[in-house]
Amino acid sequence: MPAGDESTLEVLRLTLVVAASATALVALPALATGYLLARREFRGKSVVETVVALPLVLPPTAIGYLLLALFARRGPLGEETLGFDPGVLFTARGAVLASAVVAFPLVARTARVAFEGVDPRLERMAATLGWSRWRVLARLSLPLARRGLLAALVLGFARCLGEFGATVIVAGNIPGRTQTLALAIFRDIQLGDERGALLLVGLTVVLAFVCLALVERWSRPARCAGEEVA
Amino acid sequence: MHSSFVPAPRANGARCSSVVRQVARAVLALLLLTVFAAAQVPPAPAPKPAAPLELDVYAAASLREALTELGKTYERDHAVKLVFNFGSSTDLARQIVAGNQADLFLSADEKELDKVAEEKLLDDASRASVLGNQLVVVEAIDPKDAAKSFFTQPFTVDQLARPEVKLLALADTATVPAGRYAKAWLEKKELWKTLEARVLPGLDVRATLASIESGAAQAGIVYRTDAAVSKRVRVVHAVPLDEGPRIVYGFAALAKRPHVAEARALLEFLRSADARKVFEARGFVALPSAKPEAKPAKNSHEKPRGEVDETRNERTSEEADEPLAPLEPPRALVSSSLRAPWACACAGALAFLHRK
Repeated sequence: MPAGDESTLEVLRLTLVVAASATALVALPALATGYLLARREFRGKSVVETVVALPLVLPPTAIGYLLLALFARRGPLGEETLGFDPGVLFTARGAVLASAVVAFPLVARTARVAFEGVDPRLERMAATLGWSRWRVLARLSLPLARRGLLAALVLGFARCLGEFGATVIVAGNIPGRTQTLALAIFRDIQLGDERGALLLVGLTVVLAFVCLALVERWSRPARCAGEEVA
Repeated sequence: MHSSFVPAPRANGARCSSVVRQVARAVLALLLLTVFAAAQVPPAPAPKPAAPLELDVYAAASLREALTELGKTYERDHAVKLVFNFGSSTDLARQIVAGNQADLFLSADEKELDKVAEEKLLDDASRASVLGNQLVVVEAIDPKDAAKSFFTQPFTVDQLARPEVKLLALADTATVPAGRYAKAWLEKKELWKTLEARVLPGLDVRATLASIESGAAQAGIVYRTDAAVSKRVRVVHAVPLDEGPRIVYGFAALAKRPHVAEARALLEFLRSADARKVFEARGFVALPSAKPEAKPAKNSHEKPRGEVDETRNERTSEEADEPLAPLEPPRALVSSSLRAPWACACAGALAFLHRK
């Protein structure tokens, strides 16, 4: 059964909503983690670094399994433990959660690099002028790292767009509920609907192109000025 | 590029960052729009009078076309939106046990219903054996030479062991009912040991069908109803009903869900004479609705099964004593609590972009 236009639109909408929600969910904690890793020395930092990097290295199916076990009805965060249904598994929220977990290390690590790119001497200078730590962060570090941080978020968004392994386990593959582009392509291939799959692949290529163009733009500040003038 | 090297970089820098900021704002605005558009969709049940109630129907992959057709009819006549999750019944049972997000479970194997019932999630009174099906051996039709076949008629089972049949597509024999049924038949015919190494397992019976259609496997075993959906495969042999395993589709509503009454109404519809016609037209065997009476319903004043009337979709008085949960309580709660961090993140990002 070929996917009609309506269902393709629905898949696209759901994909964007899930990816945007996951990026939004992950934004603050991941940027904060990036900042901590770039600027603070503390005990157990290497442990934090490892934990942050873990979802990047683990197969997404392993992450999916862990989330499934965590939120299953009898799991530590499941219905029977909490006393109410958190409604995570096999819902759009599950898809958001899976994408967020998978995207987190990518955003945090890119943000860390962005913060590390800010000259620490500037921050110290600002401190000597009586700026508080928060003011330095808000008025100096964040603006200077802005492009890298935006790139980090777009990268996370892009990762969410393509997320499959963890999502299929945590959220299933339910049209109109949890079926995002990556899952819809898989289902079309399973059903032997090659035209439908090709259409969806085309859509993902367009989306990926836009995201990568934005990342490229924001992660290379030096060339920006020249390009604008030319 | 630039002849003056003192003021130019600053001017360029300013221009550059303002362009970047504009783009960033546009993207962020888009992102915000999507997020808020999303946030608007699920809630707000109060002001709208007829916000269609959604029922999640987890159904065996082989039911896809029949249910899609019946679902359209049902949605037209009732203020209900059906969300289908088609897949291997075993997989669906696992999903229900883990997440309990289904209102109706239409399984290709009674065993899977048992698994859900063991977890006390099944509305046992609504459970019924509704459909039968039949296994068929199929092969792809060669588009260039429609007469070409790996088999000769009259078909005998040992032809499946011919060397030309390099891969035999079955649904996964461990995780899909269709695969279990096929394996049971091959074991009965004492061919399983011979063929086991050539089996190409599919995630569900439709994936198996697709792998035969595409020519990945030379032959395969699916349900009669699947073969009827495809123009690209030919039925070589229909496994006689008394020879193959008994294939019975069990339907049931799920008990611990907010809309049990509506789910039961849908189930009644799926067992109505009209629905039977649709199932039979697609090759299913509609089983006589005798079994449910054997299992005494918990609430004895329940209407007799099989009797279908249009009023069932309204909440009748006898269904009112069902422990009906308030409309979507946890869902609304979590989604609003989910929105708070989004809003914070978005507001923060906006403030960040708006500063000079």
